[in-house]
Amino acid sequence: MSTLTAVAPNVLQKGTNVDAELNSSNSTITMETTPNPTPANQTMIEIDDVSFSYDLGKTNTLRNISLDIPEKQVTAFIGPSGCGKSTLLRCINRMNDLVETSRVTNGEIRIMGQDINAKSVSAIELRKQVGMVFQKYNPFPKSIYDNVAYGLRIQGIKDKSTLDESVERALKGAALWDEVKDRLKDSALGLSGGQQQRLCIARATAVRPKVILMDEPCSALDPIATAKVEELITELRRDFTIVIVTHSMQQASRISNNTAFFYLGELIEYDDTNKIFSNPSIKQTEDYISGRFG
Amino acid sequence: MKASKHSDKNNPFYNSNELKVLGIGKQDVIRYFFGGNATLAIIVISMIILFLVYHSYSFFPQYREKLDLYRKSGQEFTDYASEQLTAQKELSSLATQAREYEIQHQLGALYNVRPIHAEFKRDALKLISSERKEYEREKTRLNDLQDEQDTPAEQLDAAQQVYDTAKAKLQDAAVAAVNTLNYSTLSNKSWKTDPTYLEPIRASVVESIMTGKFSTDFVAETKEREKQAVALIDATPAITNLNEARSNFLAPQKDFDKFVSSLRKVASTNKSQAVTFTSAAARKEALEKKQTFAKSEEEQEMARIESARVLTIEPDYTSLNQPLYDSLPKHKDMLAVLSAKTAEGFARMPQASEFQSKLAQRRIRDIEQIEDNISDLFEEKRHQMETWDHNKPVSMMTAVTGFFMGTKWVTNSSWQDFYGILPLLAGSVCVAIVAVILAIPFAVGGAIYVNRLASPFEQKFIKPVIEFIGAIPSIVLAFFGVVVLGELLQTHSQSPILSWIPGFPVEGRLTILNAGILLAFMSIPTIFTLAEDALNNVPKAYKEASLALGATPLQTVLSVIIPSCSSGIIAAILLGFGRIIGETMVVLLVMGGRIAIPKSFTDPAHSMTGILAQEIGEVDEGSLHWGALFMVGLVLFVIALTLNYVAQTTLRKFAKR
Repeated sequence: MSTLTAVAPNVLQKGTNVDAELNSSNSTITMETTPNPTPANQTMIEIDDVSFSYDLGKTNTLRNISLDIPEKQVTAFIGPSGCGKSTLLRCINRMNDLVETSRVTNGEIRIMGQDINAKSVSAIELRKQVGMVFQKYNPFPKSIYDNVAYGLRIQGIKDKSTLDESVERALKGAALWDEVKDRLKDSALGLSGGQQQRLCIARATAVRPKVILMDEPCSALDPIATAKVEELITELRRDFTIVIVTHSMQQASRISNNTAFFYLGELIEYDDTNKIFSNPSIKQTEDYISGRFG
Repeated sequence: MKASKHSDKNNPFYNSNELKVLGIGKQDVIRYFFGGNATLAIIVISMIILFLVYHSYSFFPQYREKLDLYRKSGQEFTDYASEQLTAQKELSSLATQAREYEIQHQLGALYNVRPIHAEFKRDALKLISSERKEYEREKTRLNDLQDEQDTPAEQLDAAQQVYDTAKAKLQDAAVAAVNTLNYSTLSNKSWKTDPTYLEPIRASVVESIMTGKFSTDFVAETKEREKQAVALIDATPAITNLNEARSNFLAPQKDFDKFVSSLRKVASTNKSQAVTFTSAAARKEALEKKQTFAKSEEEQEMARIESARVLTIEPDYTSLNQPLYDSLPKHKDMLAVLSAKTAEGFARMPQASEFQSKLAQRRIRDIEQIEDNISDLFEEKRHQMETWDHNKPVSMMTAVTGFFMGTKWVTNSSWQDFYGILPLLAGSVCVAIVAVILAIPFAVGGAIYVNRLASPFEQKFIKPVIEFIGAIPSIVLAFFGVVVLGELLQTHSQSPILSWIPGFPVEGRLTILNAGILLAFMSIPTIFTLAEDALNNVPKAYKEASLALGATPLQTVLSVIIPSCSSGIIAAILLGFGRIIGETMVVLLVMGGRIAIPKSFTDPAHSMTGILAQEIGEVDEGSLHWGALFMVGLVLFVIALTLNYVAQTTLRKFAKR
């Protein structure tokens, strides 16, 4: 961790030097793959025997999944397409509510000990604590500033100085401040793809949620932008609990502390990332990681 | 040249299945059919533009000539004086109306007793027509028998008996009929009523029917009471002052009127001479043209003789207009009297707050408004009269501004026609604005609700219903406006709760507001459908991103969805506006057809489309009026085109992003 934080500002200073960026992201990888003892953190999200259905329980998309996601770490969900990892992610902030016929048919998801599907829980309040970053970067057609300030404004914060401060902190946290500080009033749609995705991350962090869910945040980005976002994620885990769905096993191994492998709606294996990638205990996991299927 | 190895049809790639007639295959026919349709649309549009321009291009030169004649004949001079008088006459008329409204208001139910009486009697007579016929028949028979000397007594008695039964029957029927009549059946719902008058009115109606006389004691008594009450009202300081102001306004009018008439007589004579001259000149010109283009010598000779016979001596306008120039000192004196008396009248005018009736207050305020600028008008017109010169040529610019800025649209007048588009344009724009303002919340709100917040069932139900509105023929809506809505607005606008709305209470049934409401209704499907399309085009990702940040569905709609499709919604509103401004039937039937610039949205007005529909069938082709109507059509076309263009550019901007 300490070496990593030392490297990150370094990268930013190098700016547009592509070679340097690639080098530094490589160095990040080497650092991450070295054994990295994770401190025993408290559990943030408990997923307890959860089954989930998109069609009122006729068929279960997820079946009896149980895993505990620790606080202030990065947890990666991997698995082939259609295995239910994105569905599980969207259960955590109840985005699946948008699908009328979706139901959690069994089990409980608890965040900070509270069952989020309880009647008294408001999905709106839940989402203020559990932010989300999407596969395809989706900034609003507003200015950069308004995008980051959006979450705060809908919470009723109008004070200009508070907003300015939060926007600056969020943009700095997303390593975007130096690139956009002179054009905060410009449309967010004028930024590059990688910048737009980091802006979306800044937008999610601006409201200071407890958890950030990321649904394949780098799949629409080129390698350089991917490297920057990955760096950002490793930075963010100091403050947030991050759950990331990814198709790239390299990415999972580079940035996550724990990895869960899903297959056909079931959790196959969940363990420390180093263990999963070096010595998986289940054959299916090993086959998938070594590229024999998926 | 190298000869081909194969003949035309004998090549290995020849498609023998394709039927070709004269070298044109099926594919070609279909292609030409669609291409032809597209081309035809473009050709038709260009032809419409050409047609409009062709019929209207000669309007301005013609109008300039007419205005030139108007000046030369001294009509312009006369109208300056006449406009002074018209403006001043408005004052006395408003004062009269104010008094009438105030009396009507203060009398309350008493004011309407006699009209209600008359209406009840009319309705009752309708109900008992058969009994009345029988009664009349028996009455005549009895009278005939009585007239005859030698009628036997028994026969007379029998006839008398039959007559009496018929009379009793009539009485019963009349009582029964009258008892079915109620205040709620009255045709004019805004009449004030008082239950204490109901029984006396009924009794009096029966009495009137039975005696055959119009006036009963009750009617006479009511008349007397009304008279006394009016006298009392007239004695209140407000009305006394108003009456005095009014007589001051009225005092100088007669003399001034005489003066204007004398001017008008001169101008009329001048005009008829001028018209005779111009038509003779035109005929001569035509004959001369004929002379040059004649085929045979004989024809040429004929035309030459005929053209020589047409006398064209230009009238001596200077001497003809001399009486007008000479009248200036007299006019100065008369105007001085007019101004002085008018000022005296203004000094007497009571305050609007002294009146109880809203309508009277409105009249008083109108008078106050005239007070502010009438002296300026007097002065301006006087100056125009003094500097007037019949020889000053009318420029083309005057004709153009006379059309585009003219506030008068007067046709088929024996005096002078004016073609100023402003009152029509103002009417059209006013009603469109009212309609759009009313339609936006319903159409855009409906689109947002259906697209973003409604359940699938509601979507399935609401959308077709709103789209169905577009299928209602506009004439049906216009009927509804004339028969139902106008009355409804008039009656309910009297309510004191609504009196804060400017222009309320509504005075007539046919107003801009009435037409505006119907047009709003008609434009809802247009705006709704287009706005819903715009909302549909907003990427789903925006909604997800917003919800994931903890926004409520409503916050998402208001702060993300609507801003990101605002240009689409604006385009929808513009197209709705275009739809409204081109609508004809409703504005023609429901807007009241008064050609004047409306002061408030509860005034009646006329529209560009309405005037076209109303007048185009009655004008001579090629006349000035014809050209003026086509100019109006052209203006309408340009407005529609501009609106469409602006809407399309905003949409394109939206699509690009």
